[in-house]
Amino acid sequence: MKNDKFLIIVFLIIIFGVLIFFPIKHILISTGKIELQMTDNWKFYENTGTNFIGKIEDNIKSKINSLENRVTNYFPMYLKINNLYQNINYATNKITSNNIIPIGKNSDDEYIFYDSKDKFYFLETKLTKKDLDNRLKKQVTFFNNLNEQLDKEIYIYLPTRYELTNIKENNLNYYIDKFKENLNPNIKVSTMQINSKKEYLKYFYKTDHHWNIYGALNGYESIMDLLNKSKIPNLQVKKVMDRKYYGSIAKSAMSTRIGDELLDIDYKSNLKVLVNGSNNKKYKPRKINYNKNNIYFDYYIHYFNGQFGNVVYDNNDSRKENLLILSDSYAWQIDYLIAESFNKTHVINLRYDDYKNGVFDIKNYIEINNIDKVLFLYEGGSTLFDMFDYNFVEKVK
Amino acid sequence: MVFSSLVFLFVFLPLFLFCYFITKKRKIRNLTLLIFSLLFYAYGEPIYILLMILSIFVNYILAIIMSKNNNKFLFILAIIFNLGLLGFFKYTNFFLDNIINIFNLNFKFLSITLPIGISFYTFQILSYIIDVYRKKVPIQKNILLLGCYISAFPQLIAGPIVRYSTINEELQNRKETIKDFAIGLRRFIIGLAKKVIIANEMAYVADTLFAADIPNIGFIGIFIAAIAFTLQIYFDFSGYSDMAIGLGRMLGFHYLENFNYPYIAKSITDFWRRWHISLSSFFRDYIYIPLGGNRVSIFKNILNILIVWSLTGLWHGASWNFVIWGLYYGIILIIEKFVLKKFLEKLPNIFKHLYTLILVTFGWIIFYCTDFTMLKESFLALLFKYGFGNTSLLWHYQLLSPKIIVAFILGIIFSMPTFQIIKNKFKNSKLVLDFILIILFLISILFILVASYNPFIYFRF
Repeated sequence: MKNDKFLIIVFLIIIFGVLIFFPIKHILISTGKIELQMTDNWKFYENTGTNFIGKIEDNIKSKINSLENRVTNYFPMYLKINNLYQNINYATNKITSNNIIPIGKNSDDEYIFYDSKDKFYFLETKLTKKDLDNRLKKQVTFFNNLNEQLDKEIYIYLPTRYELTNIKENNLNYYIDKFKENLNPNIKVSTMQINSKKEYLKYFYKTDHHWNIYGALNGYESIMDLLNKSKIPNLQVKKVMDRKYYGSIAKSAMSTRIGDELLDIDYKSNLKVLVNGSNNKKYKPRKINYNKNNIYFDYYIHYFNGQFGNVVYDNNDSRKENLLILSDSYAWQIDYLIAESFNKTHVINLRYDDYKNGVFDIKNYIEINNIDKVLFLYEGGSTLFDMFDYNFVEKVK
Repeated sequence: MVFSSLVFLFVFLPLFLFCYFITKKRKIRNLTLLIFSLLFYAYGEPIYILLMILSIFVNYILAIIMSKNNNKFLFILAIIFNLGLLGFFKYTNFFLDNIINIFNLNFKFLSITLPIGISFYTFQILSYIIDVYRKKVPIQKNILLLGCYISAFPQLIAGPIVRYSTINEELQNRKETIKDFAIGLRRFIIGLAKKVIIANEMAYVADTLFAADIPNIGFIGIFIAAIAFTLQIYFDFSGYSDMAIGLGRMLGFHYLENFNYPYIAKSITDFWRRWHISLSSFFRDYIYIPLGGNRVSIFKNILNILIVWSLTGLWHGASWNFVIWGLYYGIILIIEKFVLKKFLEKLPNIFKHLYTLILVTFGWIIFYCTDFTMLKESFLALLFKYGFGNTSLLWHYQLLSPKIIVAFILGIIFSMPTFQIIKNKFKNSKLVLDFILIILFLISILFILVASYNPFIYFRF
């Protein structure tokens, strides 16, 4: 009986203790005493209901989703517990690994590994060989069809993340050759050239899935060569953050084991910018506002600030050509530099705004906007394998 | 809502326990149980809760009228109503898909979502209706109590299938004690740990490998996937049953056992006496025996076995692989009964276990693969058609981590009655055992907190 009581009391203390903690934390956050730390576990509910019942269901489920988000993220010492777990996981995984330590998965279900010798994270695809083959085929078909349908020059630039480079064991580099081989020769393709780990680490963040400013600058130069345009001379790099940047992969791994520097190009653009059709003075302020409480705050998104569906840079020079860039977040660092060589540069990101749930009609867009050239600037793996089956039915990463 | 979630453990459960135990009045406690059970269900199925409430009302009224003069028509009507709901929500898509495929039609009729736990609560209702008709149990005139029986959240969505006769008395006259609460709590913690520490890790392995290119992962990949799924389904389902039985006990209900270490069985017949006992006994008592059971000709007996097992398969899911899985067991049981019985008895125990485990694991592959190409490739892989397999993929999929290896070892160890041995060892020092359980509970919370992979297999049934 005494033992029974002991067990019950401890159990009740744990569950009631945590229950009481939720409203307290909620009040502290609401009154601004502490700041909520958004993590990968903060899930967003997407409404799917079309009829009356579906809408009621959406309403209830979004409230449930909100409750679950709060219960998870308000949990006492949530980040510390996660950190502890990740550290234990890392330490135990190290036992069975050499230099390449498995870390887990990110929110896109890609596998995260850590190279403990050269100190950087990298991602491996979640897709099977069969998936990769099918998707590549689909992508090639798409580009070739597009080339047939459009009487415009199509350019593709492929930034190669680690798993696409041949410096990695079991890499996917041969897919690039396969892609180029099967593509209509009228489509111009250029690939980032990375020949050593040293070079890779120069061009890519160690803790994030993006290229860094040196990679982006290298990409910019190759793209300008590809488009046969002159480059802006003497571009300099500047530091924009005086503390370490822990990128998206470090955030998934919840680790401050290594950090990066956030850099930018020291260049002020005077182009007129239209965001989703209107003049937006707040566009790309290139400012850092530190989030003191969240060490994994996404400064890449915050600083480069490109989460818009449609951005148009206007050079107001009708002698120049008009360019359409279809891209993901890789373009955010350099799109305005590319735009300097064109009259109007339209940057479309299908993940945002009206494009998010709609269908993008590229042919129509090109006709309406008198586009001369089309550039695809996605992370290499996305271009090769993501299912953006243009008429852009699928969302693009 | 699932038991292995933060919302259940730290919001629903404490609020429920508070509201439930704040009063001693049975009526209020039962009302609390009913309200929280409906909330529990509505959390996962905000719309289908109406279906459950309708089902409670209809069965309540039909049973009362039926029992007055043992009206056979109403009995059949009640059976049709319940099986009709189950059939409509669970098998319409399957039926229409087959029609489309057979007649090569090119359109979609409709898509119906399966209400969570409908197979479980329908069978509970059927046990009530049949037993009332057979006059084995008295009619329940209190709709609150009938509602509690059908919707009680501990066993609502993934069983065990609790028969009305089991808890009829306890609905009205149970006694909640500290001893029962503690026994139930211990059982709940063990179930939770089984689920989050072992089953979830195994699920990750099985799902990853079965989703991979089977020709690429070859024999070793499918072999590991099959073992992982064998462990996953046991720890997932028996863990859930432990939690359900434990929660029931905390509230004074004594649910019957649903598992009895099935992987130590010495034959398939023995396995099915130990696996999902509430389901196999349901089919035995409500279908097999009414069909004539053993007391018929051999031919009829074989037919009865095949009927029962194809229905058992179909109960698990609206897909042909489940029917094949059921028939697979039906055929093995027939062979064991009429051919192998004496031979098996003479075999050394080790061979009996091996024989059973190989067949059961093979069965789980059929169970897992709803896609026939996957099923075919899996079998071919086991027959070395694709060679040993590319072991570097195990590394790529991060399956060689100590966490997973430990989960595998724990899974194998605790598939056997190891815990009983530990329990006996600590018979005189319960405090140590309870301390271990608290640690286990904290580890389980840690796993839930950091887990991204938390599927419950038996929900879909």
